[in-house]
Amino acid sequence: MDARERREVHELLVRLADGDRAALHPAFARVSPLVHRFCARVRGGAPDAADTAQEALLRVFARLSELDPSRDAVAWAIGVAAWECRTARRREGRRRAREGPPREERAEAAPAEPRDGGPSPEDAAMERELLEAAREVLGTLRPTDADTILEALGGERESGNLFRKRLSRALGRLRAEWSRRYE
Amino acid sequence: MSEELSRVRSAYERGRLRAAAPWALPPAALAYVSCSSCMRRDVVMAISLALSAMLVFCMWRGGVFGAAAKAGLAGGVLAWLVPVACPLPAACVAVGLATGLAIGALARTRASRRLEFVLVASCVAGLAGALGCVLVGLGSVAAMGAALALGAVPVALVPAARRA
Repeated sequence: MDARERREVHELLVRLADGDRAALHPAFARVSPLVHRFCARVRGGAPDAADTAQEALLRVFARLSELDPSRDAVAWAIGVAAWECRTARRREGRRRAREGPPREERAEAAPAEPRDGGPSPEDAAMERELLEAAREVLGTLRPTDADTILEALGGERESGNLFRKRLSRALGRLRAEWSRRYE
Repeated sequence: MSEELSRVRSAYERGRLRAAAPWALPPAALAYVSCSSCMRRDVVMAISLALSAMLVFCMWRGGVFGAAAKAGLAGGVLAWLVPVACPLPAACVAVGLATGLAIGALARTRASRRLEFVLVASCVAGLAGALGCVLVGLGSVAAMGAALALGAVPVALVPAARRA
């Protein structure tokens, strides 16, 4: 989702939060795929991923009156959906603890469970979102700045004085661009 | 898609109603204070119920109704407070006029739907003010309402002077 699209969704949700019912249909058309995609990623192969997405979507619209127009409405909607996914996962965990999963469901649901020591599906999805956002911001920098940061990340360059200065400048620009977009 | 949309619409309306419900409480608080020093408790209760219903409806509806209800309640609390502190008919008229002027001035800052704003805000302020003026008498309630309308409507409807 690019910045323009994000702004449009934000405006639709803010209008809806203020009681403008005319924004309901367009907001639903834009937010529904977003929430479904997010829940599918977070819940992985869980059998109730579609149900969770439905619940999350209902929760987003039910809580729209609480939306603070000065904050990013897309991030708020994703936050509500993430909470719903977490609730569904806990509910499923409790159910499994109580009765134990059937054999075939166990095989299907396995990817949704956190691996031993690994990140949970929510953390993995957040990490992917963050990386995507970082890549997006990195793409707006000058090629020399982006190369410098990538070289530093990959440990491809010896850290000389000149490189350190270039890296510091590039990181400053990255930080400024990040703040402009997300703060 | 349409089934999902209708479920989303119901959830949205339920959410709005849940958010609007607490707005029924301020009139109850005003009515509680008025009831403690007023013989006309049935009138106070009727006004309080009407004000609660109106506030919940306006906050559920949102948009200009919600904004007007908030402005009207703010003005109405003042219009309620003055006759409670100083129970004189003149106080009711003065505070009604002042609240009306304030509502009219607020309405003038709006780019559109001024008349709806003035009507809703005046009704809310009038009902809230009536909870205080009823301590003085029903005549004072009517005088306060008339003063409020006299202050609000002309100010809101007179077109703004053009700047050179």
